[in-house]
Amino acid sequence: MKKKFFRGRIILITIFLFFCSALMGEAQAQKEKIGWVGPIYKELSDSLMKGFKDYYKKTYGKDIEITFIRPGGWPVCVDKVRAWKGKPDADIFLGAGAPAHEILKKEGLIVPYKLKEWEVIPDKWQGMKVKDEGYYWACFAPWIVTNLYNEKVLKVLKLPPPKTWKELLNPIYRELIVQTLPYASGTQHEAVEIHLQTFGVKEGWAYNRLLAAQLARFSTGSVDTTHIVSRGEVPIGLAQPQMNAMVARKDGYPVRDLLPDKTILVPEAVAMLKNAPNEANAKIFLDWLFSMAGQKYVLEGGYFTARKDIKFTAWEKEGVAMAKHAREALGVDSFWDLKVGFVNYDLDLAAKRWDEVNRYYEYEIYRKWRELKSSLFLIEEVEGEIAAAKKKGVDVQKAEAKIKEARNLFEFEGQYAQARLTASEARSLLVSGSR
Amino acid sequence: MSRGNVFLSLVLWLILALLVIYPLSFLILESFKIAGTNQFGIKNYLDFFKDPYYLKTFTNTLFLGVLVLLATTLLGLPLAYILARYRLKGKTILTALILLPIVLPAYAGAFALIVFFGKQGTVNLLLLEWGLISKPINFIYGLHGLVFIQTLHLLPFIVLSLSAGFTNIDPSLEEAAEVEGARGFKRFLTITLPLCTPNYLAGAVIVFLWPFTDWLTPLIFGLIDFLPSIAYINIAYHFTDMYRKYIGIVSVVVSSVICVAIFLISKRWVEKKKYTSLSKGTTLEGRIIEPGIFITILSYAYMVFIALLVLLIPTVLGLSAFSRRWVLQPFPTYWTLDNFRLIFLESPLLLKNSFVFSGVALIFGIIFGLPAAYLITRTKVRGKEALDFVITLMLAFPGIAVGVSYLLAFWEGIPLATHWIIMPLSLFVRRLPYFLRMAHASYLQLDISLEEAAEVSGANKLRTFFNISLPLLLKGVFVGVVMFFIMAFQEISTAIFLYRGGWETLPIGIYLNWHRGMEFGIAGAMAFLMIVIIFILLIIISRIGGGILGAAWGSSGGRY
Amino acid sequence: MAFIEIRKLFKKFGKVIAVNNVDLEIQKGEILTLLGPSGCGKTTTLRCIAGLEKPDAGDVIIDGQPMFSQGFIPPAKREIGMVFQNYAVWPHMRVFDNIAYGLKLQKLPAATIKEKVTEILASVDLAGLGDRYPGQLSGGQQQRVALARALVRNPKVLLLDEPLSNLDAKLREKMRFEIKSLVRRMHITTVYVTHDQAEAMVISDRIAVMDKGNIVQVGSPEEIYKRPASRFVADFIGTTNFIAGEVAQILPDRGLVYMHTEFKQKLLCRVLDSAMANLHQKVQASIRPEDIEVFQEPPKGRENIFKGTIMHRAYLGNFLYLFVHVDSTLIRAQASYNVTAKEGEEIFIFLNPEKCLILP
Repeated sequence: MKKKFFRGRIILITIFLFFCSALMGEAQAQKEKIGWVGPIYKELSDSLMKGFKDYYKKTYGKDIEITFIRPGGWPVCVDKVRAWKGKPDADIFLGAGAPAHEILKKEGLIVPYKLKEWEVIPDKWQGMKVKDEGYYWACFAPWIVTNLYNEKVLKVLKLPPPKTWKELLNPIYRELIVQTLPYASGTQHEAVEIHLQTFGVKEGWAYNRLLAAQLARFSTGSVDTTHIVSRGEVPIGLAQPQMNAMVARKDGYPVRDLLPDKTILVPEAVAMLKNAPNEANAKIFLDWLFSMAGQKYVLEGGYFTARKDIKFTAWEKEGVAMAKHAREALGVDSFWDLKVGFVNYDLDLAAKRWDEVNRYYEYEIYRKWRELKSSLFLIEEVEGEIAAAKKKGVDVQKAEAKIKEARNLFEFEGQYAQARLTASEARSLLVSGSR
Repeated sequence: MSRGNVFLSLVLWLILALLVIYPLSFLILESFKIAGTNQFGIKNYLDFFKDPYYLKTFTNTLFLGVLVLLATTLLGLPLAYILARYRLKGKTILTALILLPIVLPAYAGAFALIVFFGKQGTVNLLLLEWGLISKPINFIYGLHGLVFIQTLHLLPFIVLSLSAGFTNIDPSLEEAAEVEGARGFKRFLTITLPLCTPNYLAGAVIVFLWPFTDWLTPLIFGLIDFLPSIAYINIAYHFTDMYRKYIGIVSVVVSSVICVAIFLISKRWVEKKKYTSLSKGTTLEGRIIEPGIFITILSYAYMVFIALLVLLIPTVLGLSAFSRRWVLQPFPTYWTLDNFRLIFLESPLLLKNSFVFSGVALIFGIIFGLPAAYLITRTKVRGKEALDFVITLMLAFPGIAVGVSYLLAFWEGIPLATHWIIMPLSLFVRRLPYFLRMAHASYLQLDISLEEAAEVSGANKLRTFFNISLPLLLKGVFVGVVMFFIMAFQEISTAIFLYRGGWETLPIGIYLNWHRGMEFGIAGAMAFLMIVIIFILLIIISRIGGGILGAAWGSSGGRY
Repeated sequence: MAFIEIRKLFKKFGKVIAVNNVDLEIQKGEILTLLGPSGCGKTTTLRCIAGLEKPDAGDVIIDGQPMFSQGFIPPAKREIGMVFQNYAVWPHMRVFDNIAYGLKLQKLPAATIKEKVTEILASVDLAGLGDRYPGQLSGGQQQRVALARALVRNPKVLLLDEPLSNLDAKLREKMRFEIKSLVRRMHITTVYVTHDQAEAMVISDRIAVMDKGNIVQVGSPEEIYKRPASRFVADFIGTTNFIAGEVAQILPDRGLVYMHTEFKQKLLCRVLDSAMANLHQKVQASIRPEDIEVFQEPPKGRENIFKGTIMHRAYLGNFLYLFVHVDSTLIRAQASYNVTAKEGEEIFIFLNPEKCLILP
């Protein structure tokens, strides 16, 4: 019976402890609170937390408790909101571009709110929506899908930074590129969509196949990509949020932005969730976020600012440290001054085929990566042999036709094994032709 | 069978049911869900086993396990023998060093390796500078790097269990072999090694099962095609694709089944042949040899080699902890204490959380573990073997299984996960076996006649426990306590699924600061802090508990 | 020449001298026991013969070959068999493999090995148990496996280190005879170590009694029992009574002396070592209980008759054991059942002068 008494006491103590913590929880419920959910980076959330807490204290004389949950990339965050089934734990959906907010709007998960300074955000930019006309969401930190490179490493390798998507396919960059999988990163997915919408579906997939052959490896997320490029392990990284370069530079990494020829704007936006438990605080936050003061914290958190009337040089003079890095990274005095080639991005189309694109990439390119590479490399070899033979005056007609067939199989059919076989056939044709 | 004991066992079973059986059942149930419908079926499993890709990840993981086991055994065997058998100076320092890799979470070492061995890491940069190579060498990206880091991390388990095995062998068994004509190597192969089998298996199981639970390290090296890693990616990045999520869960369940199966097989293997001899009273040290000069030099060389290997990662972490902007240079040039300032001043939460969660988990562990050990060793209550079995089984489950199952069970099921208590609870469940083993072993060593004498003198059971049993158990229990704390402190595979803003522990902090921020120094400083804290704890154990640590790992093999 | 020669063997452990310059010769085919209390050095000496210990000085020569002085010969090369106190039977190998182990190392053909092992199993009464694991056998059976293993290779020397101490009394008694007959049949030179003097008496051809690292007497069981060389030996082997006193009178031509003791009369004793027979020398006389005769009435015409009181009377099954108080000395005497005197009553004891030995 000895343990029974022992046990009995311990059970009582444990229950008591539970009650205490519950009570503490209750006590805490009396405090002011606000909750954010979203895919923004930790630096931004830390900066905003600090800024908003100070502002709240100064303006209302009270402490406010801020919780921020980042379950993953924006689709995961959207999923999280869905899982709350109308009784959200958070008040604000913080971050993610237009696709996410359109989904939230369509599913009735967010509610409109007209900001005090609504006009200070542009409606559209070069054809792309920057805020929702129904006041459902607004962009507070715009950025462009871009690429990154490590300038020190490229300099050592004596290679020029590639300026366009097509240039990335140049063999000189083979095994010097890293990207992540489209289903693991919203930004990467958008990059693939850019290819599909810029080049057309067939050409777009062909492009991605060829691009995959250039990769040193696949990373596990867009931040992983940034990190790998920053450390120089692989000098070129794809599908990056533009501000990553700025932040990396701040930390002393020799990373530069690599604006491609065609890209899209990601208007990192914010919206208020339906049935937010702390609606009043949510509204206060939204207004603060778009104020000059709030925007300063956005920049300090490593994101570009959305207000039309911000000039980096002016802020630099005011002593905002990040403004200098922002100006150097972008090369302009305000984000909206950038000259970029944009593609006409069809949001709905992208949303519709989201899963399909992910699956296609995973099954046809990622899982068959080794096959893909060995197939392409053989094709290139044989093409080279044919070109050399042609110069010598050998009759290469049959072989040329065959190798074209192989390339077609590779690029447009995605039949790597078949393409490889066809390439060998082309080779034997060449050999027999030269006799 | 007293009623008190039955009541006790019921309470323990209830807790187990809530914390172990329920979430795991939830997990298994979830894996049978068919995406897009409300039905259940085995479709997910069929897809999983028919898909050559998933089979490939499975065989990859198996292969990795075999490689790592081989590597740790080859590296660890000589070291274990040296530590157990030769009278050499500096053995105590080396023993302490050997424990270092247990202290660190494996992935922190992976980061350090990238800094040191990466394409732009220290070694490559130096070699390029000295003109010895023209292109960076790929030291780590690939299976070889993965095997290397996991071997380093798991080496202590093999060394500890083997050296316990060597020490526990009755010397007369080896002397008899010598008399029969077997010398040196022959005797080692036919007598010494086989007798270590139960001890070895205890360590080998941990090593072999590790790749089934380590989802993070392969990802750091850019390798995705391993069962736990693909499971993680599928679950964490499934977005709206429920099918992918379910496949991920299936991967987790399959991993768990494999782990449990291997675990059980190894237990049965040990039971089959008897490994204990009739010996009464071995000398505490086992057989110690004075080695000749040649062997002494070789031994020292080997010990130094291992020490360097083991110290590599903490050194790199230490260097990065005290510096910033260490990139594209072989060694840091900008030294600062800023990283530590950041940790202590601006995010002391990490430290606080780590200590609080591990501490609370520890309290749970003691409250549960001591009565459980008592029940298993001293009473005849029905189902006590099952209790022991289920608890020990928790060792076999990959952390990802516990994490995901808890996420499912306590988020969508009983909403316990909204409260921070879920963190220590999950730690408690995962690490309980460590404590139970120690408590169990200590109880077994405590001769029951000591307690009976007290009862005859008039003490009731409770008083007997506090006056007689507890003081005598204290040493072993204390070691178990510290072991538990250490293992809880550095846990990440489960914690990373369950944490929410404000609940980050130090290991999670390291992960976040590598994966999200740009500054490796902060992650390095956190890792360095972890090493220091845990190392101090380890020194306390080895002072007080010494051989008990090795004995718990080793002798438990022979206990079954 | 002796088959085993131990020459000036010396071994220290730290500050403790375990074996102190021991010399001993063991003849071929004989069974010699090293007998003594724990810590006397017998096990260390045995292990030196085996080669499991290396002495600090001295040598062991087996069959003419030195084991230490001309390079260390390891146990594996000494062609010895050894039975350990805890049998050291390998638990992870079957009985058959345990015994066959040494034979396999000699690379004998499998058929030969099988034959030899089967034969030896029969000899030790374990026929048919070759397939079992030691864990499935009793203590006594394991002991016989150890014995079989030691003997199967027909070693030059068989060493046994307290092999029976873990068995119960009945089994011990039986095994003593079995070991002796087995070893006799195979004509193996045997060195046996034990602290049990009854065991030594049964098994040995000769006994070497050891105390604190030294050999104090070597001789046949009868010699050692009847003519102990010292008080230690007399006390260690069997039971004896000691009577203290000093030499009063020497009778040189008869080898006897008179002793002054606390008793009223002088005690007549035999002295074996003439160096002990000095007037006024302080000596002790030893006489064994069975050499004391007990009388209800004092017999006439004898010396060494003393009167005493029975303190305690013990029934030992085959005879009586009396504790008799003579003055202030307690004498143990063996008596037959004819003696009906009870506790507290008077009795007369006769200490046979020939059996009353003065010992150094």
